[in-house]
Amino acid sequence: MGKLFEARQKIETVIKAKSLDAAEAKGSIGFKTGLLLGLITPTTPDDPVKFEKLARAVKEILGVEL
Amino acid sequence: MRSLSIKTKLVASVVFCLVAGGLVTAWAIDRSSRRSLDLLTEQSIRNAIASFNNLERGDVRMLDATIQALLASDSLRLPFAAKDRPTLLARSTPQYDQFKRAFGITNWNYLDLDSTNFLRMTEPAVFGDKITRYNVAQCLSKRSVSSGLGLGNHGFALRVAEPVFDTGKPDGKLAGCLELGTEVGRFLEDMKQQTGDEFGMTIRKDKLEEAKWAKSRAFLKQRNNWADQPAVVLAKNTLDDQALFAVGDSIDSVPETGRNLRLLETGSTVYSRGVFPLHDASGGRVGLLVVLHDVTQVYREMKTTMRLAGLTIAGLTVLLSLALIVVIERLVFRRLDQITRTAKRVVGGDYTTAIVPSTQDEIGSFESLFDQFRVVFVNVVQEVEARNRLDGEGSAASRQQEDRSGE
Repeated sequence: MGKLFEARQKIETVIKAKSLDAAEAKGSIGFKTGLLLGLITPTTPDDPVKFEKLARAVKEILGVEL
Repeated sequence: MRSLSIKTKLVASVVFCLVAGGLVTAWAIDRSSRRSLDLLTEQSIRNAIASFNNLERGDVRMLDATIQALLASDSLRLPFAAKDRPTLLARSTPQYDQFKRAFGITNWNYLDLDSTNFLRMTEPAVFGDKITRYNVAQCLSKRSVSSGLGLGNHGFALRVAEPVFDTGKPDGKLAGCLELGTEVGRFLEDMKQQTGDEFGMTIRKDKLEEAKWAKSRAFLKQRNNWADQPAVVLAKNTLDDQALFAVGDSIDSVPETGRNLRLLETGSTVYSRGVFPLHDASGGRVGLLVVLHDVTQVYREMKTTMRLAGLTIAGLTVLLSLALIVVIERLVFRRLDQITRTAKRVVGGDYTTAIVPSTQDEIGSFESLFDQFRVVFVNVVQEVEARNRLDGEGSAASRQQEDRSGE
C-alpha cells in the first residue's frame, strides 16, 4: 500500500471524525493539490512531491498532520 | 492592484467616476455662481456709473442755471467788472448762505482775467492767489462755460465756471469768471439711496500733498488715512469699514467700464466690489469710485447649493455603489460562487450535483458550458475509478491464486 493511499484513508477518517461535508472537504484539498483523492488507489505509486503538497493542504484545511 | 477583487475594483471605479463627476459638477456650480456674482457686480458698477453721471449732469445744470440767474442782473456783474470787492462780497453773501443751505453749493469764486482769485466766498480774506484749474483756464480762454470735477482740499468738487461780461452779453467786455461748485462727496449718499449700494471715493495720492491731506483730515476731525492704501486715499465713504474700499495700486489699468474686485466679508455681510475711474475736468484720471454690492443672500445660496450638491453627490456615490454591489453580487458573483462550489464538490467525489443555468445571460451560457464539462469530467473519472476497481480486484484474485499455489 502506497503512502498516498494511506494519506487518503487518513483524510477520510478525519473528515468523518469531524463530521465535515466529505465532497466539499475533499474538493478543497483536490483544488489545493491538483489531485483527485478518489483516484488514489493502493497501487498509486509514491510521489514525494505530491505527498508534500497533500500534507500541506491537509494541514491547512483539516488542521491535522499526515 | 492585481490582488484586489473584481468587486473592489468595480466599486473603486464607480466611486472614482462619481467623485470625478461630483468634482466637475461642483466646479461647474462654483463657476456658474461666481459668474452670477460677477454679473451682479458688473450691473452694480454700470448702475453706479449711470447714477454718478446723472447726478453730475444734474448738478452742472443746476450750477449753470444758478450762475445764469446770478448774472442776469447788474447786482453782481457790475461790482465785479468794477473790481469793487467789498460791494461784491456784501451782495454775494446772503445768496451764498442761501444757496449753500438749499443746493449744497460750497464753492463760489470770482476769478480775474489772469486766473487769480478776486473773491473767494468761503474765505473772503484770502485772494490774489493763482488758480490753475482746468475749467477756469478754459472759461477764460474760450469765453464759454466750462465744467468738471476738480480736486479741492477735502476731496472732489464739481465746478462750473462761466465768463462774466460787463454788459451781461458775450459782446461785452470780459470781466472774469464766476465759478460755483458742489462737493461731489454728497453724491455718494444720493447714489446709495438710488441703488442701495455702498460707495467710497478715492483720490490718487500723486494728485495730493500729504501734509495738506493730514491738515484737511484734522480739520474734518477724521483719522488721517494717508497710509491706508498704497496709491490712493479714501476721501468719502458711505460705510465705516474703510478696509472694504481697498483698491490696490493699479489705478491706470482699471477700464473705463469698471473692474470687478474680489468679494469681501465683513461681519455677516458679503460684498461684491467693483471700481470705476473718476476724471477731472481735463479728462485726467484722478481717482476711483468703489462700489460695494451686498451679495450676502446670493453668496449664502451659492454656498448652500454647493453643500447640497456635495451631499447629494456623496449620497449618490454610496447608493450607487451599494446598488452596483447588490446587482453584481446577484447577477455574477453568487453564480460564480455556485459554479466554484459545484466544481469543488465534483473534485471531492460528488458526481451528482449539477449546475442549472438560471438565466440566458453571459453567466448562464458559462453555467451551461461548465455543466457539460462537468458531465464529461465525471464520466472520465468514473471510468478511471471503474478501471482502478477492476485492476484492484484482478490483483487481489492473482494474489489469492498465488497464495493457494504456495500452500
